[in-house]
Amino acid sequence: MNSSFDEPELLTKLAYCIDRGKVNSSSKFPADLIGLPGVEEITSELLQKNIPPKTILDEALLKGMSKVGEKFRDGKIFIPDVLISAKAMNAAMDILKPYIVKGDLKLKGKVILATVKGDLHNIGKNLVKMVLEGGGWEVIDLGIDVSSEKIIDALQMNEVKAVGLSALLTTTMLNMRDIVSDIKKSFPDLPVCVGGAPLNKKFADEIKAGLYSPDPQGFLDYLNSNFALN
Amino acid sequence: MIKDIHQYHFSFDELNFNEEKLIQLFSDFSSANNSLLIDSLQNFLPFIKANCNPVAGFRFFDEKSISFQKNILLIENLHFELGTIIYRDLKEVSELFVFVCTIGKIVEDNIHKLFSDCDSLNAFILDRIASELVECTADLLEKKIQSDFLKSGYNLTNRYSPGYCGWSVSEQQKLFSLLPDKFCGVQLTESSLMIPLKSISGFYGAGYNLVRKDYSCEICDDEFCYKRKLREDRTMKKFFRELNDKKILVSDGAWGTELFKSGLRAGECPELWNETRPDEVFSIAKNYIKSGSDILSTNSFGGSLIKLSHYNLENKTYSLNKTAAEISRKAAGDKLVMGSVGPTGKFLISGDVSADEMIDSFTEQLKGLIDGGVDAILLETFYDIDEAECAVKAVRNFDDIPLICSFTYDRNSSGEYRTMMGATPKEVLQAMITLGVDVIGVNCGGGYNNTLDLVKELREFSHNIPILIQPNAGLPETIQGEIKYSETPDVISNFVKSYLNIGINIIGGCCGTTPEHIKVIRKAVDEFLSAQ
Repeated sequence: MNSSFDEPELLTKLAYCIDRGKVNSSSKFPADLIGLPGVEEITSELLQKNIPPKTILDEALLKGMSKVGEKFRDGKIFIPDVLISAKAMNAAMDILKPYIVKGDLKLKGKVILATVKGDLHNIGKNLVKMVLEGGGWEVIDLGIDVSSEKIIDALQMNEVKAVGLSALLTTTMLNMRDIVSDIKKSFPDLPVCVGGAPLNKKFADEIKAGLYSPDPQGFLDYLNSNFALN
Repeated sequence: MIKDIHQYHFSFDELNFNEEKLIQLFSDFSSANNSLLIDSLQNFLPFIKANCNPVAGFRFFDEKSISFQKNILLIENLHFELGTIIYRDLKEVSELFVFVCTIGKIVEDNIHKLFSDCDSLNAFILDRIASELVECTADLLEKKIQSDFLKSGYNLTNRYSPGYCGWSVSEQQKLFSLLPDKFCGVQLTESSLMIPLKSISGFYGAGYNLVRKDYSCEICDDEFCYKRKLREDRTMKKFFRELNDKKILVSDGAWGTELFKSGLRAGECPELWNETRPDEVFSIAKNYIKSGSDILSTNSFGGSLIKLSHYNLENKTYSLNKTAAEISRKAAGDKLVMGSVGPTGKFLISGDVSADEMIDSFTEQLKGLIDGGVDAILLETFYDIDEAECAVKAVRNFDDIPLICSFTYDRNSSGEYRTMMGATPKEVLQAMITLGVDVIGVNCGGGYNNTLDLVKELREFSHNIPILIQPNAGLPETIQGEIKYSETPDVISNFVKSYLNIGINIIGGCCGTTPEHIKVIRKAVDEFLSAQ
């Protein structure tokens, strides 16, 4: 083995680049890492040295993102920094994509996300999507103004571990009740997680949703502890 | 056609959205990523300019067409259930403006496109900018209503929108029924969502002599509401924000010295120059800004009512101080202004003046300075803790204005520092902390060299309180009939570095210091900050 190659050190570096949102050597931010190699260079180097994609995902990418998720949950960083990290995470996942397609690298499972019928807000849902993807989950994003039928169609076509529903208005959150009950009719055991600014635990319990989380990390923790393969 | 309906098309430039506002908008961005933000804005700006179409309009309802019952507003037989928070503020009003504003659909279509192209970061940035642009549009409409439609003596309430402050979003339906179809191009969905999403609708109330209250966030339980954030941003005064962000602010140098250079004669009232020679006063202020000041004082050191009465100018107390503030404000641009307040020159201890008279004297001066637009008050060259207490009490008559209180000390033969009234630095510090001043200071005195040990002493007593220092340029000497100060700009350079190492927060100069001194200080501060 090449003596200058230090696998653990490089994995740690990669996790740090995810944490800081450093995409590649030419990215202009973060300002203190200008010119240094980023996620793209390090991921490629690791693959070149025959480090298994799964090791790269578990030991660097997911570790970096979980740090981001925790800092966000604890109020130490805010949405913009999560997005910057997610961008770096996407860059790495693009490089790993061929291995996922071939089946060499398996993600943790599929989750459906949707902003409910009547509501056109997508930022909250997209944030959840990024955090879940950053946590190693495959997200099927059904978009905004989504009806029960559309969700049930998607459920029938995919093996899905959970559904996440988002609403921003007090008027549209009421539509969640029907959607949860429609899903339960066909998929009684499937957990449905709800979130959005006007929601709370009490409302989630009332409409018999499986989980309410005020932040994306809560949903991710729930998925990881209940369904993750590894 | 319904009467009393008005609609406006604004241009992007009128919205007054600039880089400074953007950075403020993204205050939760880590500063390491500021360059990303600027890049992103520059990329977006041409697109936004071309595609943001601010439209705003309102329908006016007079006294006869509105009435109130407990928590309910009645317009044209419609019951609006406002909830206690809004009712509390609206119930006194006699007129109502029902408004809608939007920036159109193109910008938000692009946000959706960016999201579907997986460029979430830019989508998010554009989304936040778009939200702010609608707020700017509403602000502009508010100004329009104030200037063109409010009767004299009438004021507006806050703006209230369905979905906020305890007012149900489903009431949008009734609100829109008061307006023409697709008013300002905004439509309502069944779920009470406005399309375009980047729109705001709601009410303003207006009433005679109405006092505008802040949003009642303290009794609302929606902790994620953006109005709460707005309120917090507003309460976070610019002065504190700058002090936090820049770490060390450079203030200005002497005013008296510069006024004399411009021709002020001994015995003349310096503050009167604000009225009679405003250009000279402005140019002194401007020179300090050009030399690198972050915070400028005002030509109002002797502007208390008691001081001005020596010149029989007590009736001009308010106007001379207001003009002083306005001149510095104009010179400062986006830099800060602190309103200078000096002692009255009378002694409480000898009964020359009562505490109440002193408070009144300062209050009249402060009114002028604050109305003139200062960001903070600088009580300077104080020597009597009791008089400073009167001044602080006067400042407390005004809603949270940042307060700096600076004393002047002499060093006695055994090397101890005392104010003219015998107070030690520790006594002063304790009293000022108890009174709750925001920044303590040291000014005038024996010069940069002479004051160094004093500032060390103060910093040892309190590690946290922000400290301002503005020493004289040494002691004045008369050389061939001309007054010279011993500490020239070259001389003070090293002392400035020592002060920065002690940990001071605002640094400038007092008597004898010039724009050249400020340039030296600016350079030293920049070097110090970049080495950190």
